[in-house]
Amino acid sequence: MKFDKNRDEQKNLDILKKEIKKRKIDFSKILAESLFDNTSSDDFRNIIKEKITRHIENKIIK
Amino acid sequence: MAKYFIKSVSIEGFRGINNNGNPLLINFQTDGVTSIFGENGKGKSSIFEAFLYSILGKIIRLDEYHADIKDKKAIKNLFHSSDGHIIIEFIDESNSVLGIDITVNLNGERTLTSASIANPEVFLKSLCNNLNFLDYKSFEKIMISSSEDTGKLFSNLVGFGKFIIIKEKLDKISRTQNINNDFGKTTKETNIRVNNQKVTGLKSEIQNKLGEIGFSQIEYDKNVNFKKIKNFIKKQYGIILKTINNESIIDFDNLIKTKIGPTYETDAVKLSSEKETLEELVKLYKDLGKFTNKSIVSLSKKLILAYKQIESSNDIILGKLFDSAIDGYKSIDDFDVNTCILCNTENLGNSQKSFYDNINTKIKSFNRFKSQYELFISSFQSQLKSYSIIEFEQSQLFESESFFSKISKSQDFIQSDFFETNNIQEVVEQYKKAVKNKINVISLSIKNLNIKVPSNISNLVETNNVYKFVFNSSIEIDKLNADSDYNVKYLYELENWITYINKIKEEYEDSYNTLMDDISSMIDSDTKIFFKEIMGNVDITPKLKKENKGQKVNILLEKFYTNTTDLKAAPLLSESYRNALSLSIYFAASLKSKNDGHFIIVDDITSSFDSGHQLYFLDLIKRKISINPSNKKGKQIVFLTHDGILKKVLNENNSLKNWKHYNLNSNKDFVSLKPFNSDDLKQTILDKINNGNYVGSDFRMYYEFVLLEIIEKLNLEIPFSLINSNDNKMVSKLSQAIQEIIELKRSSGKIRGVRFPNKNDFKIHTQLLSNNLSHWASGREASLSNAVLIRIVDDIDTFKKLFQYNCTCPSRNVGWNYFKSLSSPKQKGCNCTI
Repeated sequence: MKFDKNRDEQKNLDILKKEIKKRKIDFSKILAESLFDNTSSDDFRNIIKEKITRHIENKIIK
Repeated sequence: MAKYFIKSVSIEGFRGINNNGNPLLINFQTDGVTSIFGENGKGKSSIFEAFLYSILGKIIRLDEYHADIKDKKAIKNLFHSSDGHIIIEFIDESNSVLGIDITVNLNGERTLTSASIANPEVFLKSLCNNLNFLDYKSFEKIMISSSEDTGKLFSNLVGFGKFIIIKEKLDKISRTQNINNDFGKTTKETNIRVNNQKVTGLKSEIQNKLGEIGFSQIEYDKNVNFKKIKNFIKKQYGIILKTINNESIIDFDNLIKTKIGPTYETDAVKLSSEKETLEELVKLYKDLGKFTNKSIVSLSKKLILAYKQIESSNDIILGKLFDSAIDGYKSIDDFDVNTCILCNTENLGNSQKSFYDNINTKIKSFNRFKSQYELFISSFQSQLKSYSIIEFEQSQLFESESFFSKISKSQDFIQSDFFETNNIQEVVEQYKKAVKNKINVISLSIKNLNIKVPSNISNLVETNNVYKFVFNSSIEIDKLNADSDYNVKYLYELENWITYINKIKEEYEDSYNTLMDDISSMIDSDTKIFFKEIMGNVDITPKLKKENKGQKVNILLEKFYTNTTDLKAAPLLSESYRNALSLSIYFAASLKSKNDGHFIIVDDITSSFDSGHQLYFLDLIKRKISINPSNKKGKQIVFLTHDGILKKVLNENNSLKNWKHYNLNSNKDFVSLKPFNSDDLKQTILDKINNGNYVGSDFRMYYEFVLLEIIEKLNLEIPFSLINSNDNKMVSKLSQAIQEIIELKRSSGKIRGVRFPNKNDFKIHTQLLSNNLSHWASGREASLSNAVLIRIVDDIDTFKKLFQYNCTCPSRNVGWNYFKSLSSPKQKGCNCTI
């Protein structure tokens, strides 16, 4: 991914978001919907842990 | 992206600012520097903290206190009668003003309200972060932080705070240890391996068990084998099995209890144990048979011989005693070698040898014997082992102390007649007899138990146990396999996630690194310039070097006098140089910030500089850091200081176009500003009048301000002598100087278009004001009504307006503006008709 050199952080965050969503796998959605929330890294880790666990478990059951 | 500046702040009842009913109001220079000088305890840091608290919701230095001494009740002013109030006005580039009212209660909790902002908390959060505020404690950390923290600071300073958080988030979820903890990756892998081992073990055990009941050739298959086992049982024990339901698990335990008897199980266990004991005893009895008469005689002889050797050393007991006694005394320096260490008899030595030496010789010979004896005993013990005596011990069949242990225990002081009075052959025979008796007893017990536990029933129970084992093991194998299957699928999906997140993280970091390389390079360039301007030393040049990977930034010196190889900066630089470099880095990075909050508030950051460097630093702030027409990329600076050296310079700076300066005055209950422009001073006077406070010499100061402003704004040439003149009658001197220059210009025909005041106007105003001045000079203004006092201010304003015009051009500052000059009155770009 190529970030905007004009140092517009929001623009760069949008580039990152777009790059994540571009990969059309289930994980992209999970990552994109939590990564940009206004949460601490520890809270984010817990959210991802919960979401990925649930996702994998559902997939195995199917 | 909007740019917000601080327009004003009003503080009441916060920290050291009580100002009950009369808040401290500060109007800021939005396009430049606002400096505030306050001696210690005058309320300067309270202003700094008011911004921190209002914008960030915390006072960093109070937060860093140890829990034991923290007290949020110190946030609101203790003597203020109600909640504290801070009102901040922000102004953006289009002159829109946004106000936020911050209330602080007794417990130090803050509430935000705003008439112009829907969600003030969100607004403030997005406006800036703690890097818009700088005090000594904060910038000191810049130099002594780790290179990783310096990198983080850079990202934060340039407004990449969210980027750092993203990086931290990606780091957290991709770290191997965290993945293991969060998803139990290693545990699951271990479980799969352990489960497989268990399954293999169980299958093998099942086959073994099946082999015990005649199915040794059958490959394990739970369904087939259950059926075969059932049939096998059925054939042999048809009578009992009549009661068995073929479709269910056979409850043999219950069957045995009800059909055979409740003690069957205990008896069966006992029978098994007795059979094992019997086997041991029979083997023992057989081994004892190997202990022949000849070998016993030979052994006895050896033992007797050994003891005789002991007897031949007559002083064995004495030797042992001295051995331990001298060992104990050896470490004592004043040990008398001629005194008996047991009885303290003195002079025991002779001319050749001391008593100690004699004893020592004996001990040495004893020790030699002792080691030979121990060698012999050791060899004797191994001989005994060859006669299976050891197995006697291990069998634990006899409670009395055995022959062997008697020998072991008495090896140091065996009595001389031991081997002669204790006939070894007799001892062995006693053992044999005892073993024989025991064999008889156990055989009888087995016979009785065999009646209670018939072999056909035993076989049935054994078969049943195999059946149960196979059944339970099969269930266990199914569970283990299911668990492994689940874990394998889970790990497969988890691996996909790990691959994905690492790929995203890698790509993000690569791009982030490229960006940070550029930013570091820019900050490095400005840092060099700033540092040079502050310290003025061309022999020292700093360098910020970002590491290729990651976000680490090293603070180095690329030149240190004659050295031109990179060196770590912090250990080499003196405190003032370190601080200069910290400030250079901070401002270089902060100016690159993309935060909406376009201001930097600094509190006491120049203390470590000498006066010269303080002035260089101020000059740097003025020209390259603060926003002004020639430095549009600069920021609004709020500069708080207690430094007396700077006070005079800051007072002078107040006359600069983009610089506003205040001095703080305060007592326990009231903090106020000593203003430096006429509007501020007028407001202060009006506030005082309205609150019934003493106005004092503020009228004179206001009049002086107005006269000075007229001179400054209209660029009036005043006599050089006035600069060095003392303050005495300054109002009169300034008034006269203005009058003279107007008259001069008028007489030379340089005044056009405007009727500036003539001699008569000056006379009227002077008389009018002098009349009132006679009151405030004698301090009698307290007896005048508010209306009269306000009229004095109005009189001064009326005089001021003689040098102003009311501009109505929408593109300019609408309202009363000073004329540009005596000869060219209209301000640039103004279309008004004057």
